Amino acid sequence: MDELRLPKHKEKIGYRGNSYAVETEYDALLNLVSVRLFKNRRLVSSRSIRIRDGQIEKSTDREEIEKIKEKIAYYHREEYALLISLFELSQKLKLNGDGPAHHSLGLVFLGRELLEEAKEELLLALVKTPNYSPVYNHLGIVYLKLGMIDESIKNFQTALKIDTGFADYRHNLGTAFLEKKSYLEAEKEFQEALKLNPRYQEVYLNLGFSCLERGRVEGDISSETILKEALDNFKKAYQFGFKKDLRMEELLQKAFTWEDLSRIYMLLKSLLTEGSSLEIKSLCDYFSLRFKYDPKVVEKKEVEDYLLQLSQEIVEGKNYPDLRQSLALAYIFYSRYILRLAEKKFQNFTQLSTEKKTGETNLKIARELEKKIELYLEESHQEV
Amino acid sequence: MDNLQLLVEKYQLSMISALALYFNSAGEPEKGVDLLTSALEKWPEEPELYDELVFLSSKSGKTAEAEKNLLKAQVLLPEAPFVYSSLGKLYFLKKEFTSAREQLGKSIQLNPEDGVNLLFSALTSLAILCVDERISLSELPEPQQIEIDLQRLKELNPEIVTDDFLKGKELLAQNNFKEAFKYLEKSLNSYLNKKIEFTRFHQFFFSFYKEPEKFDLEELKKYIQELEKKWNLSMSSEKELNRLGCCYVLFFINLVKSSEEQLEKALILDPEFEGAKKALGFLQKMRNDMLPLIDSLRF
Repeated sequence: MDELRLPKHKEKIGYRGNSYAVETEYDALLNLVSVRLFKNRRLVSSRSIRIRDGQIEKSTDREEIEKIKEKIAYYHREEYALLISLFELSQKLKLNGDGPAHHSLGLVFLGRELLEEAKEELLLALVKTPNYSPVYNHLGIVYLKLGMIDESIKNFQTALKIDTGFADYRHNLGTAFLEKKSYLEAEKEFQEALKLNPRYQEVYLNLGFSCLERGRVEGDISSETILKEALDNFKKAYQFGFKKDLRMEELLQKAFTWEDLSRIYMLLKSLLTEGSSLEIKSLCDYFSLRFKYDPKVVEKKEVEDYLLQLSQEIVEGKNYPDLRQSLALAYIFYSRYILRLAEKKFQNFTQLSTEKKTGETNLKIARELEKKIELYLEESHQEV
Repeated sequence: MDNLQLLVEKYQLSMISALALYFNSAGEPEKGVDLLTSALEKWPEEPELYDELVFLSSKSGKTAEAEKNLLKAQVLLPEAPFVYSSLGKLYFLKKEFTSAREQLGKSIQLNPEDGVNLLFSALTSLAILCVDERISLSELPEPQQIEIDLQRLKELNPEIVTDDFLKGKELLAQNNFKEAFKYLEKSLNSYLNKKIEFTRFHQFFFSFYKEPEKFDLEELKKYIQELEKKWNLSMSSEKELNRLGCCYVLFFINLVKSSEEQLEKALILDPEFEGAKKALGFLQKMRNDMLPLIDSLRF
């Protein structure tokens, strides 16, 4: 692949005293485009996009190489544009953003692991919408990632005070206790989460992990009770979510020692991370914000790509109601461009044709349809 | 197929016109004539319906019905050029050339910008020249005038100009009237066949209303791309430009439908999802408000 000489793209942006950089390159071995985001020269997040149509097999073909180059440049531009528009949105929201908008932007930053930026937005959300439990929950996640465990626990607890019935909040609180190595408290929260959602695979996984860690700390890694408890939880985690995998089933059957179970945990955890919907949800939040605050500058092609990516993620297994709702909104937003194309054609027809009445009637219809769509979007944004 | 009267009540003008074309394509032009006759009671002032009625009645042999409706319209709309035009076309197709000449002449007087009338009129004059020797040549336009009319038609309706048309024009210049008539009639027939063709475009609207399960969105996108390409190459007719606009509207309403489907699926996954419930409520209301607008599209 050396002879391909695929370029590595790098672009920087300074914002409020920080320097951000996007680096994009092609990983020939994995047939992936890697997009990395740096803040003050430290890697904060990365994402990999698989090149789907098998160009790599035809890598000797110049045309195919050009296609890969185009893709690298495209993904790079996309990420860089996203970063700039996030900062622009942040500025805009300071002037006229409501609580949910700051919350959404906080989630987008969180999805990109820009934790300080996420924290700032979430705190602003709390100022504008003080009793909104999801903000506390996400702030808890941010603090946890920043290593501020006590702050994190406080926020999860506040979220639970406002809305007791969320398994996610319980699970996150358990994770914070786990991080604090308070295993019994962690397990108590995990059990509570399972009462609310008995099929919550990540909870089973963390519960199993907590058992293993407890065993290790207590110096009893061969305790049959602990190992059995961990294994049972891993089995449930596997049962409630992962695609069937014969190798994994074999491992689960033969697991015997603490080391076997640790290995299973690592494998299951990596499968779970692979299937995480955080990134796509963060993209949905990003577009919802732009649809509301930046509708005029969102380009048709951007929405087309977003529609494609979101539909693909849903088809490939992330069949979640909130993603479907985001897709529904994206279809409506996209439909505006189509109506405008119709209007343009009717205008041209009216100018050129002798059938003025036909052209004018159709133009009026397209404009009325557009008014209705704008009204719908306005109502949707208020709901959001 | 539903009762024709019910169809007229249910659908708007353009769809009725498309349905008449559908009947014709299905080998039932007489059904198309009946449908158009019913439609004329609801829309007595729509030129397109009269023209379509004339062409389908000529195909089905039910010309008397068309004539009756046109004469009725003439009383109702004595100043409307399209009534004279349609009546002239009907008489031409019935080979009643003298009456055709009279009606077409009035129509051209009232609206000189209709190129199709000029072709019918030229053919009528040629037919009389060739066939009806009772007419004195002095009563007919000079062959040079017919040539001028045909030249004007080329400018007004370039879509009618075919190789046959050009050949006919050439033969006319050589005073070979019989042969000129033959070729010009061929070009007229190909125009008429196109005019009453149930096209891919009509099929989209037909499926949208009558067979939604067969509606093919991918096919619509392909068709839009083809029309866009033609438009970019300046090869589109005006009609196609309007059709392109209508196709975009059809695409638009399908996007609204897709949005609705996604919200329904979200609610299957989580029946308590308040956001999706509200959004679906709004969307359904909006779509219901939109459908009558889409019904009123003219194509």
